Amino acid sequence: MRIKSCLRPRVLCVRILPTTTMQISPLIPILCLLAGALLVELGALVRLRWLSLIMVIATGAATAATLLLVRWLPATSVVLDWRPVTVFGSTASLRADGTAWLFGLALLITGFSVSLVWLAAPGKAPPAAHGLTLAMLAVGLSSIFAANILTLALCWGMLDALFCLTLLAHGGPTSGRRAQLALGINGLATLAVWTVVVLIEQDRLSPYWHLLILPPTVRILMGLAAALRLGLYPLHIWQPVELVSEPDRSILIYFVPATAGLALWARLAVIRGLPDGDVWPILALVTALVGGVQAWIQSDPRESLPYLALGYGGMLILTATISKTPAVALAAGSASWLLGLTVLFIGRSFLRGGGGWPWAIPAALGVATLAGLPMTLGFVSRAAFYQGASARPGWIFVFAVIAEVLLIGALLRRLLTAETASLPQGRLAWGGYAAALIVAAAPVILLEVIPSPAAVPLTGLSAIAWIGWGVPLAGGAALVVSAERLRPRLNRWEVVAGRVIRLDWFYSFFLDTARGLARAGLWLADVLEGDGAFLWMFLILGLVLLYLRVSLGQ
Amino acid sequence: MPTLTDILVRLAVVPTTTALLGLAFTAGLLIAVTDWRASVLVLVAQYILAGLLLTRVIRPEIAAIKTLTGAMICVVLYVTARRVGWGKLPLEEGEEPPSWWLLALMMGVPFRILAALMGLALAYSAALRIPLPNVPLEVTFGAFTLGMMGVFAIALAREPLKGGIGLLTVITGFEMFYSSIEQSLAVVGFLGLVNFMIALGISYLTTSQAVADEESSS
Amino acid sequence: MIAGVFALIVLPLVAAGVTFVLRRFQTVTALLAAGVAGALGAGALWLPLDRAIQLGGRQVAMGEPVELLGRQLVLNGADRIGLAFVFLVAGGLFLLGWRARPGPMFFALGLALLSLLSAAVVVRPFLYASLLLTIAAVLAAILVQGGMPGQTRGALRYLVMMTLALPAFLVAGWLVELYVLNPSDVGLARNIMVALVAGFALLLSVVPFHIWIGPVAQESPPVATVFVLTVYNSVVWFLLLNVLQEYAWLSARQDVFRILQLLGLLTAGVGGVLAFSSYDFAHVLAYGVLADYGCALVALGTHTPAGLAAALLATLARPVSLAILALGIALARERTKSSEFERLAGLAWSRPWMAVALVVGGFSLAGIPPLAGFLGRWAQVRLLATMQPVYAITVLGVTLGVAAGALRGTDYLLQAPNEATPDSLSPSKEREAREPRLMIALIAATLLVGLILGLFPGVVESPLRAVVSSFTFFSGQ
Repeated sequence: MRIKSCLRPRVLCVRILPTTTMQISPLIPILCLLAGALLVELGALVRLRWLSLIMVIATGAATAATLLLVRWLPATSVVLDWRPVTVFGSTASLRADGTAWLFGLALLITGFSVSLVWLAAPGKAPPAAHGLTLAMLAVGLSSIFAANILTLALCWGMLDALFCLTLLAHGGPTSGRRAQLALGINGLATLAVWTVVVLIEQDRLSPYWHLLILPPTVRILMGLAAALRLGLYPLHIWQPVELVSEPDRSILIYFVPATAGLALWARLAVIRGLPDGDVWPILALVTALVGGVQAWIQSDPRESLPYLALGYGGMLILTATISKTPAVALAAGSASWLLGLTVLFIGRSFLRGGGGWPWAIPAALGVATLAGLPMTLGFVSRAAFYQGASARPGWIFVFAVIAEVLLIGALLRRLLTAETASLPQGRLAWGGYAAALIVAAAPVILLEVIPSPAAVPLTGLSAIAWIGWGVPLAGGAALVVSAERLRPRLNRWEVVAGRVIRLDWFYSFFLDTARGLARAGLWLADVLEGDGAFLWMFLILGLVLLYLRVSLGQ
Repeated sequence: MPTLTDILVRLAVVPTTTALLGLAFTAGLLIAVTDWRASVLVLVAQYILAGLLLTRVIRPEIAAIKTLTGAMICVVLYVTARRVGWGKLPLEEGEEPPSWWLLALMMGVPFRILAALMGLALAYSAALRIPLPNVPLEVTFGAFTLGMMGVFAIALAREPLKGGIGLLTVITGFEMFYSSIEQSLAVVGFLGLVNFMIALGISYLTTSQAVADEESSS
Repeated sequence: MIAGVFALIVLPLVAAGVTFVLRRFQTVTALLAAGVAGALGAGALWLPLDRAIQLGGRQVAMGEPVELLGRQLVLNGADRIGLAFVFLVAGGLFLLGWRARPGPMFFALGLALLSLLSAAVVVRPFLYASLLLTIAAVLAAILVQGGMPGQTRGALRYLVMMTLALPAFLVAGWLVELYVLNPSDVGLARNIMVALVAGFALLLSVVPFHIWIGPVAQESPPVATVFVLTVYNSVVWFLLLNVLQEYAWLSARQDVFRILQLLGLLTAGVGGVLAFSSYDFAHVLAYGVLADYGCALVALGTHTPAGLAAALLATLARPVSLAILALGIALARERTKSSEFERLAGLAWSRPWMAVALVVGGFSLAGIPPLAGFLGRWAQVRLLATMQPVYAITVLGVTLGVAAGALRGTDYLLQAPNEATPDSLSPSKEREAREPRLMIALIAATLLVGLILGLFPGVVESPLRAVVSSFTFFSGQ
């Protein structure tokens, strides 16, 4: 066994296997997941009992394949050979470089961990949801590994469909409305990416990421697409906050689309194609604040998962847009976001009902990485953010600190809330659950401890940066301590403030307006195609002939 | 016994103007009148007058074929209309039919007469401004009259039978022009077949409409 | 020796007679019709044109011309691919019609239509094609009426529109004969162009001649509607291409393609707006396909091989999208006698396959990736973005409009099941009235075909290339 650190790619590269000439394609982990999805659905048809085991095997195999992939980065694979090329442009292909690899690995680890939880504690999710979740994971991974923008558009189209199906499979009284909103808003994201491809073609630029130079107008569209996919405020309405009652079941529903959005931001950072202007940092900051407020005012801290995901997602985008953070650091921060929240919400708290303090260690590691403590994966991006923010207008710094105070406070609150559910019963279930926690928590430390070019040396941080790094930690802790006195007042405001901030009222107004426009169109159709259709036809024909005569006569 | 061709040749003494006026009158009646019996009878007259007018520009035998085809179409339509009870008045179940002038108002006869007159005026001015090539002026008048009135009849129709009669009128008007320029027997035969198929299609649709009316009244 | 042309015309006619006699036995007639259409389609695609081969003890020569009543019936390379496509689509629709209640005479009339349409494609000169198309339109009007008592408005409008195209083509045929003698007469050439454009505008249901599509979609059995919108319409497209190819002086005129593009733009725009305004999945189908026709015309109007390929891709993908949507509408009408959004409120929970078919069919028709409709739409947008960016934006807007219409329908379908709906059954009765398994299988199979076509368009690359290369009427060629 040999251990060797590589300079290329920029992320960790450790060879732990004997030299081999077998090359792993980025398609393999995706195929593992798709095969698992197919087997699960077929198994559901014949009422097989061990569907969760199939999930574990599929996600485990995919994770292992992705780990092995690191030796051959950047790795490419043509998936769909679209011909003729003169008609379709580019093929659908995958390319895993260092940034994409880190995103993909984090996502797969999350999936593997969630599968282990499902194996240990099956729960009430319908069998169809398992297969759909695997398929959604596969397509999410494909979008991360997409080699060109056309492939990204295809993958996002499939992700939209699978996300909705997964949501519907979970059921619930509002799943239909959420699925429809998701189709609409995420569909817009897909359409935006598609428009970008068109504009790229128009300028005769290459659509492949590693060859792409994005013009300024196109960057705005890309930013919009990523914002829609991630669910930046106020485009967050599609996120199904109703599923928080079973966070361990709904983690992937929140994270797969959001990770796809974050991965796009990271891609833009890699190619120096981030959109310019102040609107993006403002949006990101507002998202972080709203996420923080919403997370903090929840009466049950276990229901703060979607808001923490929103808030920290905003912080990551803020990091990308104002700090000009290297893409790898952004990827590390995203991995920290993903793994930290996963382990926090599948893990146990320190208080009674938690099963003892060893069970709370993974959740504590999750909080640590999200809070950006040293020796965790989250330290890289958080430190880089405050280093960059110190050079920006002061109000960004201040509001970012406030947002982080609320977010860290909510994290600590979750960690210190008594559990209502008991540990899984039985040794095997214990073992599976423990494995799930270790799988999600260990990379948070390992990926940072083992030397990586993305690490930011502590001595390079300015004093302001250290203050920015430290004040939210202290503030969050103080907030938790004083929470009990404020809680009764907050509980009164939870419903009202929640509704106002979530903008349900705005989207209802928007949908009603759309319905009104549709009714107007329907009235027009009834007039033109009703009993007088032929007369209208001749009238319109006359107008068309007149127009043709004028336009062609010129 | 005289053949149809002989009859048409003898009828060719009818002045062109008379035939033209007759065509205009029949076409106008097709719009103004909603009664199915009258419509089918008027259609028969229209085909005969069209055949008469065509004898001025094509061989009488071919004009005879067209008139015969028209007559067969009218037979089909007559049988269909009779089978379905000549359509129904726009009255409620058990309602007594009102006086004839009130019924005419209900059926929109004044509007239809106005529409027919407008159609005739349009056809007249179009025939003067856009004379069709290779055909005499009276055929141009006939073609435009039937074409325009047929379109109006389709636009104002509420049932398949009336709409179909309008469509057949348009085709007849077109054939008045086209027969003058294309006299291939194959084309004549095909056009006859097309007309007949249209009549069968209209017959089918009329029967389907009537079945629904019977079901709703029973 | 049997001429292939003859087989393509006579065999469907014979099969039509047999299926008419056996029309009470739905399964037998459906499978017979699908088998005959499929076999003829496969034969048209794979049997060689340049030599005779032995089939079932008989010599069959696909490319052998036939003379009938002084008229030539000739099958060339592009025509045979077009006919193969038409027959295969018809075969697929016959199979769907097995379970989707398309009307009592669907199979017999469909086969007779195939016979007439084959004759229209292969007959020379074009004049006779227009006559055959009109006769076919009569049969198609009866087919779309579908034996539904009282539902005649759509069928009548369809018959009128298709018949009104006949005079235009006959006049064009006569003018062409004159033009051959006077090729320098510019006015004559313009009149021919006007006549042909008018005729094809009527047949292709360009705005404002589209007034039959909505009523037909609303009143007719869905599979019958799709049959007319795809099989009949595809033949018209191939005839248009044949005309452009045959009359080089016509296709050399830029204003022909400019007119086609403008009409296409108008049609696509109206289709997109009306699809957005739909309150009925039948309207989503009708106006979505109208928008699709318009986008294909806009692509053809670029007068380039890529434009032709884009138009053909759209024509290829359209039957799949429409078939999926039609199956959903058929299931919806089976349950509620309607496909209106309000009547289907909340039914997605008890009828998931119906909902999937309606939603996926609608999005596929809109051109959303990675469904079948994306192929043509992507090719069109890609081409127009480099040549006419404003048109590309219009096409994207049309995509959005149709998708929005389908999305609004989805909103109703996914309403919470416990909300009161006019046609809601009690939960126990809803559970009992499940979706038929064979329909589910047909929906699944059609979805699979759509997904395969959307993700692996290479399966049609070879015939597409063959068709595009057989036409040379592009600018600069």
